[in-house]
Amino acid sequence: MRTSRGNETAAATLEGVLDSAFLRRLERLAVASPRHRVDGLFQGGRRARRLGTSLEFADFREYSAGDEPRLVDWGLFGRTEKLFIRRYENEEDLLVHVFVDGSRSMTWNPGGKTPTKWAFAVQAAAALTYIALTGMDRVRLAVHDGERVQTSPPLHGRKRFSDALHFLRGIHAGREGGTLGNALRRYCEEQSGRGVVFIFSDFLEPDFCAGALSALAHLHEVCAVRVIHPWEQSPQAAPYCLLEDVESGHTQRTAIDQAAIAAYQHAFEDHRKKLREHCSARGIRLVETVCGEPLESLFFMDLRRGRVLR
Amino acid sequence: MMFLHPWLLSLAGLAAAVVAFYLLRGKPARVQVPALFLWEAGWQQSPTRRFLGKLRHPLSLLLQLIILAVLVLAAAMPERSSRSKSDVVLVLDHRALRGVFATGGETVPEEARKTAESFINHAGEGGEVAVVAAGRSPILVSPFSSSPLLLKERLQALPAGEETGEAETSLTFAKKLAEARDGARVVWIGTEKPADDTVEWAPVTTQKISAQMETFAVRENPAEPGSVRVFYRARNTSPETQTIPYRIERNGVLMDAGNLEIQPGGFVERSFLTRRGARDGQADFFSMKLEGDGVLPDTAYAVLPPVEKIRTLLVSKGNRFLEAALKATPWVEFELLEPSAWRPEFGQSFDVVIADNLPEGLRQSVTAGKPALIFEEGAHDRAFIDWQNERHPVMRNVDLFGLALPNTMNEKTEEETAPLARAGEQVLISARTHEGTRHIMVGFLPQEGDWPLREDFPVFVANALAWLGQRPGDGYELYRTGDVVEAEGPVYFWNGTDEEEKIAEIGAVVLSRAGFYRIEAGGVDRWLAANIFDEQKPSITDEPVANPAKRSGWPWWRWLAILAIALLAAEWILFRRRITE
Repeated sequence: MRTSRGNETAAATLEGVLDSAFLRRLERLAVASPRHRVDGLFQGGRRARRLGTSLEFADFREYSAGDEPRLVDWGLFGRTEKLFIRRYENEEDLLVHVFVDGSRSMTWNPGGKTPTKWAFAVQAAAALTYIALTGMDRVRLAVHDGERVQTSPPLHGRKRFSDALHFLRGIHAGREGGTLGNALRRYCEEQSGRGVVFIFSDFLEPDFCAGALSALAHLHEVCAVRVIHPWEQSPQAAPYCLLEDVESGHTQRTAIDQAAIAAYQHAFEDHRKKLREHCSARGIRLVETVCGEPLESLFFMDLRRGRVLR
Repeated sequence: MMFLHPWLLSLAGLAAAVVAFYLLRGKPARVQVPALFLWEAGWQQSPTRRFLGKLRHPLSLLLQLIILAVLVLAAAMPERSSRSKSDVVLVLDHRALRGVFATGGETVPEEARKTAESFINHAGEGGEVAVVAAGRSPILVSPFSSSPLLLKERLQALPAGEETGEAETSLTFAKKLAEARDGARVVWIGTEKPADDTVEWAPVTTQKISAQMETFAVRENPAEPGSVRVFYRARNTSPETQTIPYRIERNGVLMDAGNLEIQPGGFVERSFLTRRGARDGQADFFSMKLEGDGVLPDTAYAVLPPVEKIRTLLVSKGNRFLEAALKATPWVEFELLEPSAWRPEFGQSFDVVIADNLPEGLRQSVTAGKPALIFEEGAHDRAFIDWQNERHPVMRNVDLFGLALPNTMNEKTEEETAPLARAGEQVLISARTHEGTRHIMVGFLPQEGDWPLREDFPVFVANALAWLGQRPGDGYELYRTGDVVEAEGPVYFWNGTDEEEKIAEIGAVVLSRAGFYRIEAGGVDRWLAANIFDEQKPSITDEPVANPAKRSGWPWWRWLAILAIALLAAEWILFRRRITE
């Protein structure tokens, strides 16, 4: 649905896509465990940085006043005549940040045959949220609507999926005023607690948000899902036209002939290569997908192959 | 190549405007892209692209310039300079072609008219066109004119005709017209190729075979009052044997119908007796129509005027042969008068007087001011008739050759006298019209020879009385289309089926169509029948004919205009079309 201001809501994009059969299939997936221990709030399935009360033994510690006498290892006391208490691993939930880029380049739609990148990203974000919630992880949804970042409260438990959908449906994307880089950087500063950050974006900025991605990767495990529109790979020729940047509004008169298309494709590949190298250097997992392709392909092939889901 | 409007070539200067429009900032199509910076590499690599972008596309500009060039050429109207003379005299075959279907499905006149119009469309392109219709005599439809509108109007106003006659007269007229224009072309538009090689031919072809009526006549049968004899002859002019349906109608009612099987080039000739159909005082109208699939329709007409009895006074000492002949003629009422009983006032109540061997003084008294048939005895020796006037109606169906006559008289041949029969240089029978009064002089006494015993004697008497009494519609009232008659009153045309149509008020009237004509004169109707009956009407063949002279009706400028439209369409499809997804 496109509003009178040209913004696009996520409500229409979610209708009829995440049906019950697809959701049941998604329940077989889970967000891969991060390389670091988690700092969760609730009991979960991830190894927490703090030791806790699970059945899995972690190590020993000398007894000190106030410790639970039940935890004293009496067998070790018999061998060493010193009091030690047994410590166990703690399992907590993982905080999954799902960040969706709703800038104008995401809502841009040449021709109208293929769904927008925004629509595809919203559907993918909703599906990922469902995977995380069913895996006992906490989810925080964040959407950059082009002007500012709107975030949801942390969501925990499968029942909160409807809240996630409600949040996504309320977003009006395609506003003016901000850039993705600034939005990511601000989001990075505002959020506390390590987690896994999924970013759905086209990263079509000259510096592909390199600084923001680096900052995020410093704190979190980052997975960048780059959404590409088919037109971006194979643009159509136009003899004499006014090229307009949907993000900045800048225009340029030119002719899109074969030479111009070849030069554009070279620049596009170069931009893609730099993004890939930047992500690889910072341990950011980069997955590319083309909007219009089935979500199954993204979740059951691309993200699993990239070890983002298991 | 020459141009009819060379000053229009200056419009080629508009090319500069076309280029200027390209260089000016037009309103380009807006194409939104998600990242403009990715496209910068393109125009940074090729600095000329921005300029070419302003030109939209070089091919588009090239097409626009070609379109402009073609339009300018079309407007200037190029013509072949080798064509020295562009004036044309069109000669339409306007003879008996009415109702004949041409190959194109139209009638021959319509097809010929279309062909003429294709020539007329060239009028105003440096040449002028004159139109002549070839009927019995040439008709100047339009003098030389460069106005297609005027020429077409004149052509449309040309009435349909069924005249017959030689086309040579019209072609000679057209050639003289062309000579006045220093050798303009003469184009003959017709079904047959003209014999003259200097005349171009724009043929009009026909699909149907041809058969035509050559004679159709109805005569009263003198031997039986109320009886009439119908005579007809039809010819097959196609190269194959044809079975041609025919129908004969009397007063609009079918009287006879059947098929005529005619050999190629041959004819069928028949006659039969029938009765008059109309009541006394009314004319009988006969028509015979050849029709059927694949046959050109041809209808012949004949009219039998109402019976008008001629009151005849026979002044004779007694002549049973003449009396018998008069009794045998149903439309004659006669009275016998002894010469001694003659009084001048007797003649007032009779239409015709017969003076049978009367003395000179009495004869002059009897025949003074009255139509008269005069028999007089001469003093010449025995004579043999060796010539007779076949064309005169009095001699119709009369054969006097070899007739031996004693005591003949040489009739005077004055200026108003037509000899009817001669024996050597001696005129034995003559017909004279003097101050509206007709006389027939017979310079012998028939009863002195064997003529009264021959069957043509009563025929001669009947013919003579009919001519003297000016009985209408008898023999010489048959006309061919194209004939001119003098009408004493309004003239009406009737084709036997439709409503009667008034065609003239008074004076000379051309019988241009085959059918019945009624002339009102002094409260008395005079009926005529006009027929084609002429082999000089155009030959109509189903054989394919060559088309040596037919030229394209499309001048160069039209082809150029079509080319411009095609290029314009191509340019629009390539560069202007917007596809709505």
